[in-house]
Amino acid sequence: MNVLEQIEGYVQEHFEIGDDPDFNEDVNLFDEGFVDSLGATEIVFFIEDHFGIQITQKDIILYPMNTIREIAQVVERKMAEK
Amino acid sequence: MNTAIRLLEQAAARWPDKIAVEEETGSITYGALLRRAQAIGTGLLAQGVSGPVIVYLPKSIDALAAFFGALCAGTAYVPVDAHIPMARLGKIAENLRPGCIVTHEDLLPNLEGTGLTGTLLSGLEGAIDGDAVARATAGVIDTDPIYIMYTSGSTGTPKGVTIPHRGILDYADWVVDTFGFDETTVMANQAPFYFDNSTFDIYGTLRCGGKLLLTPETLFLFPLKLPEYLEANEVTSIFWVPTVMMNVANAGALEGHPLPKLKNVAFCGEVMPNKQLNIWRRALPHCAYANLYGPTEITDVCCYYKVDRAFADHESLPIGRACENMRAMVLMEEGREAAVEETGELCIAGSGVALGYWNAPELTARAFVQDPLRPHTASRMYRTGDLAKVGQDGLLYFLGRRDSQIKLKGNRIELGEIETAAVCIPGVANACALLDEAAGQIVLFAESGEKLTLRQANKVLKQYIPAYMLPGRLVVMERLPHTANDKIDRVRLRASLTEEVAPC
Repeated sequence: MNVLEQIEGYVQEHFEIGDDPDFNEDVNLFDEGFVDSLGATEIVFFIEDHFGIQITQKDIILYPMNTIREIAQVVERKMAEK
Repeated sequence: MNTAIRLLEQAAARWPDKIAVEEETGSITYGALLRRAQAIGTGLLAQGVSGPVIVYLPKSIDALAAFFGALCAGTAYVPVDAHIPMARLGKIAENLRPGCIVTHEDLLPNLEGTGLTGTLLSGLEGAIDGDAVARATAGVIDTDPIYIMYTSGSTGTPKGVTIPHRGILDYADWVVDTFGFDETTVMANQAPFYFDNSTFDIYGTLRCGGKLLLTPETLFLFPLKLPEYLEANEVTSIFWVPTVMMNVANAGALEGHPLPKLKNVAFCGEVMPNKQLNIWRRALPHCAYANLYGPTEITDVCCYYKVDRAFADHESLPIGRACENMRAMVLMEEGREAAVEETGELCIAGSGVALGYWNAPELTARAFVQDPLRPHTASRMYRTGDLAKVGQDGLLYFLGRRDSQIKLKGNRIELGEIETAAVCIPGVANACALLDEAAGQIVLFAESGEKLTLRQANKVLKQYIPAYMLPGRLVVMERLPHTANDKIDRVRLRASLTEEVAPC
């Protein structure tokens, strides 16, 4: 599984999204109500642990992390920097 | 005459090259902010704008420059959310009859087909005509409107709270005196500009030569990283809604961030739970914590309590005493002052009291009345609709609402506005919205014979009401329960929240 699929799998299972037709890699997780701010913290914990990276406040300001695809892009960038 | 324009002029004269405001992509000095405001004011005057200026822009230096630009043109500003539903903006414009709507190129297409016309901010900023600005501002006095902020109205029409310059000037002085703000102050702003908590940040900071940081909104989605941001930017003061403070505490985000520069932690907008406050106080014992209270109708804040001891989870955190320029009274129905420990309506008088609701004399007359305790002076009083008491300790305590207005994540919401929007959903004949305190969300009960999901409902609702008003849960019923006199039985629906009802 690639990075995107791993994150998608985590979000889908952890936030009990099931087969909601509106859910995909490009949907805004926060605007569409799939994830709240506590959930955002859980996603950060997950990607930091799972991929062994550290997301900084600068990353959050510089790169959007509203969709699965955007989060995966940040993770891939951080992994490449390691 | 002293007005907010003089406040900026004085700051620009005293600290011309000091950074006033910083955002992600840049910053602006006090001198440059005044020059931009004068240029925008000149542009507005050249276009013949005389009515209030709606500022339809995201939170930015541009928006602040437009606020002061409207003031330089001798009029008031009206901040609105860059994500505002067009139906709501239309209602606001209908009530306000604005001089113009200042916006950016990327927001302009949203206005297409609404009958509203946008004016590009970039098109307003040319050469400064100092004489024209001086003429336009010379006649402005401190009881003239500085801004009109629209809050949720129970019938579905937002109400335009109109605040005078005097309210803001006194409030800025109060912030600076109470929190010891000075040129070293670095304020991290959270409140959106269309929410009056932002006036604490804007005017408190600009009054003292401090630096206002427009913290990127996206960071508040990731509370875990907020302390790291405060550390990196050497922030000295924050004034956040309790929801954000709770999210930071619950994420364990304060661990490992001692934040030695942070001095003031103030909060307002809803009840702050002691559990999370205690997490902050234990993690950052050197900070001063203040619980502030105030509806939009009295220039943001009218009561404050500096937290001076630990509170157990079950205790009530007081809202304290009236700010020095204000008076707070707990009144009984018959107009007398409540005795100690007696519950009454919290009523506010003083220089921060709004001029009223814009173009709504009946609503204004109902909420803003002659102060019954001072019948022989021209003292106006705002009836907040909030229940309160004075405790044995002489401090004020907030005890909830008299009506169906609620607070959610710091946002003030009239449930009636959601219900009015809900009947626009195809198939929905009737609706009732309630706050589920335990779950921290709005529950919408919709009368419909058809299948409806929460996401489908919210797709429609989004066209009429802001995102913070959207329900978190939907219960579809073939018929809503009614009382004997045929009103929706809110008590029965409320009781169903604590029972097991199958979520939709």
